[in-house]
Amino acid sequence: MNEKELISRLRRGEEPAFKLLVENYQDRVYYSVLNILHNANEAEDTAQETFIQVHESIHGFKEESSLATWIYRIAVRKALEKIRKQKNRQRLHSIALWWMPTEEKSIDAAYLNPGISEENKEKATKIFKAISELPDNQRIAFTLIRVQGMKHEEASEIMKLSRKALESLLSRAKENLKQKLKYYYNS
Amino acid sequence: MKHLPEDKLENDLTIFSNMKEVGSPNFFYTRLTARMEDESISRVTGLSINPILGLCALSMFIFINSLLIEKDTDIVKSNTDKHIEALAAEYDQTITN
Repeated sequence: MNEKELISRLRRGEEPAFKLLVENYQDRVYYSVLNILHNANEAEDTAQETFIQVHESIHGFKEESSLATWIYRIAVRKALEKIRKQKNRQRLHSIALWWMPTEEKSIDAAYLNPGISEENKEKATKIFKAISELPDNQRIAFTLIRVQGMKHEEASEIMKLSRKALESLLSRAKENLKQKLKYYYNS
Repeated sequence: MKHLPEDKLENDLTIFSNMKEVGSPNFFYTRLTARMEDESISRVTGLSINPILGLCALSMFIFINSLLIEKDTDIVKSNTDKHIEALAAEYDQTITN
């Protein structure tokens, strides 16, 4: 089944088409958000939210980009929303410690990411921690390209950025990382 | 040394090029469809009220009710006084406080 046919079947609300779409994209969507969020439970939750959004918004999909790019764009936006909610919750928690429930902290990305070999886990944890402290756009650009190995063209389409803007984000992310990692290696 | 050298960072980042891609958890589609059904049911029954919104609505309800009760008490009080005065006038009595 080609993409056009899949889209029109999705628009008609055919369940087998939705199942096919999920099966085709679930691994890459999950892997992308896992690399951004560094938490397996939140990655699954975000991946689910992505497909729910795809299901609800397929009628509004203008087909200006490929279906894959549109899905990853939703996934990245959902992951960013999650990060912002976490930050807000942490801010609230620091203000109202007595009221808010204790925040579950699990940023041991290397442990949670079984794709990393045993001997690299300690180093990967430090790098993931440094990446998680980058500004949102730098974090997403760096994760998609340098961690996940996505092509520049695809990443710039997903992030709706020009190639030049993306290169600039990557370069700033690298500078920030060099600074942060020097601190981590020395501490 | 102000920053980590470029080659050191590039060397460290090679760990990601050998990273194995992780697949989604088992039964992802089953859990997804179960969640979608749950969400559509709660949308219909209106159970998916945000707890903060719920708390605000409850506070508003209590506040409005307490205002109304206070106002009603005053009305009842003034009505009662008028009633007694009218009754006293009917029987040609005077009220002394």
